[in-house]
Amino acid sequence: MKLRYVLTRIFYALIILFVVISLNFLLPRLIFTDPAEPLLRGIPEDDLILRAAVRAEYGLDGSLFRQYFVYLGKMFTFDYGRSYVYKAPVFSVMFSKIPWSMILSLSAMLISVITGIHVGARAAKHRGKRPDKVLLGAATLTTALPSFWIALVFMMLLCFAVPVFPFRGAMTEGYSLTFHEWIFWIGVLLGVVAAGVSYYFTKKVFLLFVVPVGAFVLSALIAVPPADLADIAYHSILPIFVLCIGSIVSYALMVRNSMIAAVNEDYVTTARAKGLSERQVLFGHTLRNALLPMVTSIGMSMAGVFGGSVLIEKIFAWPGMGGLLLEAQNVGDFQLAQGIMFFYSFVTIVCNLLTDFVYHRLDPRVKLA
Amino acid sequence: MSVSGFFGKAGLFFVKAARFVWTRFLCPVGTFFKRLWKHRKGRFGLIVVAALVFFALFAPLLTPYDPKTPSINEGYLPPSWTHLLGTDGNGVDILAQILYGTRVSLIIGLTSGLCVTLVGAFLGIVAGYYSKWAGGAIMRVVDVLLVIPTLPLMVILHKYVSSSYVMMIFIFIAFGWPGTARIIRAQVLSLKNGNYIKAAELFGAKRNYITRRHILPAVSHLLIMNCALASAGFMIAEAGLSFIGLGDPSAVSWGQLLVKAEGGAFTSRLWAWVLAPGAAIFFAVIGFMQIGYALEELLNPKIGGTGMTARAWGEATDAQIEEAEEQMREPSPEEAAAIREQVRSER
Repeated sequence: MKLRYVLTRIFYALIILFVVISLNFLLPRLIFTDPAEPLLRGIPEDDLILRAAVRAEYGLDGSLFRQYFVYLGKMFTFDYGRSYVYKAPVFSVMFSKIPWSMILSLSAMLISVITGIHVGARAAKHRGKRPDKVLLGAATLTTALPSFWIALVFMMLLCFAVPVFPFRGAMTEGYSLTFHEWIFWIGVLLGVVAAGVSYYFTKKVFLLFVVPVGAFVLSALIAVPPADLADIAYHSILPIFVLCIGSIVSYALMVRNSMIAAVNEDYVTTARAKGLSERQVLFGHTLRNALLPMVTSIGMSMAGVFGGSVLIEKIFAWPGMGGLLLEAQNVGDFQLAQGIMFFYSFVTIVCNLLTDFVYHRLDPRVKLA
Repeated sequence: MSVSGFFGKAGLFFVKAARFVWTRFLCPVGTFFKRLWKHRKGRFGLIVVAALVFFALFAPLLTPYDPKTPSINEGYLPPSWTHLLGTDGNGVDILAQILYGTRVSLIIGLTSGLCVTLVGAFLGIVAGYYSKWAGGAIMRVVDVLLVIPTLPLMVILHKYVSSSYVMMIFIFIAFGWPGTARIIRAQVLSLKNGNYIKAAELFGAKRNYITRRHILPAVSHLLIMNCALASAGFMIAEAGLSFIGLGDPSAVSWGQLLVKAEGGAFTSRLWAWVLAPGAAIFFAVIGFMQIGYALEELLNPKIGGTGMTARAWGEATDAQIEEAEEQMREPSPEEAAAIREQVRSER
């Protein structure tokens, strides 16, 4: 990979990030005459010193130009302001919620990627027969039905009609006391570093996926006290299941389509001509190449892994990022909402960038644009 | 100017206008629906969408209940003959809410789907065929808009902007067009180097002419399909946004019905309250999607069997082929003389 390509991509990503930050800064100020108004609501009109102090605290004093540069500086030093609901920095509030979102969405993604590949390969192998027809029917169903409605129906069936699963929350009692976020984050960070190092020495791309996921699972297991582990797992079964339904189908469909397209390629004919068994041709040559589009898709959904699913988290009252966003909206905590929006955009941009690099590494035919 | 001359001219104008409307608008639309009706998926979609339009227009005739008037004594009623799907917590009939909710879903889905397609097609063609500079600018905007997370942004906007459906449609359009523009631009870029467009350019055809004559017909299947699928997608999005509290709480829509269901249907075990809005969304979305797929199959020249040539010859009825041949036939000397006479008089 050429250094120039990498640098151009990073440059573009930085420009987009800059635009997003500017939008994030401007939107509340354009729409709302004074974004400090909800902050100052409880303070008497004549207490000018306190008012000025509050404004200075939230970076809302001085000219718009000055505010903008203060804001930019804060963004690059990870200072997203203070949430006035949680009475804590937005950064730390978000970082205590992300693990909970990750528990749901990362497990759902793991399950659905693995299942999706199997289902898709099976459908492609029996094209036009029963597995294929079932997959296509399921695809129509899941695209036409809103995912949150599917969640509601399963909740209705499994939490109320036949009460098997709990219907709200991540734990039976309070959750935030027993989860050691710092252990979790150090574990994940170590995992990312380990993935980079192991990739650098072995040049095996799958390590970039497997090592961080392994680190995530391990650190989540360590961060949660063993007594609560079963409880959390029990609470998360239904949300994970509901999250999986849609994504299994979409991954499977993608694998199926690209496998069917790959069947006519020359390398498949070559593999057959070499006398490989049908199984080896299917899994060793066709599937391997058909998985390339999956890399893009997984990379795109990585951003969702950190952000969680707003609808599912709302339905199951899960204490993750999606719930945090809605809470910020309901109480009008605009610094928190802005912080979350910046975080989402940042993660999306970084994930897209990394996906591009990994994809290029896997498929050198892609032009360097 | 004499009176009779005036009437004569006006009469001619009306005849011409009627002919224009008939040949350019009614005839194509008629054949369009006929062709769609012959297609299996298209017929299904047409029936469903026609039913939705019927429900939306004649909702007051189909149900005796008003979807907004609460009646305190009739809350949480299970399905019965008087209330086919039961009532919600305020005693409002659920079937009535579903019938009236069709209006919101149809209006939001169709307007935002249409606008997104129009804006996306316009900007995509400009970016792909007209100006390199404007194209670059448009694509940079697309890059940014595709990265900005829509949901948090809507949550932020919702706090400051009134929660009306007009606003929702505006936001759908603002964040929906980049996808369409990107698809159309890619298609236009590959079309631009086609031999027939190069040939037309060599003959001195203007850009607007080529766009009208060659590019628009070549991307029409993408546009129509995009419109149908986007409409379906926005219907789901409306329900989802209403569900997380970004809709208009006073409106009657399928999403609002589900919001209320989450609050009361589970504990009172009124399953129809949860199932019915989902089924309504499902049918609406399936209807639009089937129309989209049918049109794709009918209009896309690359899908075998029903492409452009097949449309002209293979699928045409004998009468249509005869008519086409009639139009292409060399005129006999008498007819040629008549045509010449007509042309001369028109001058």
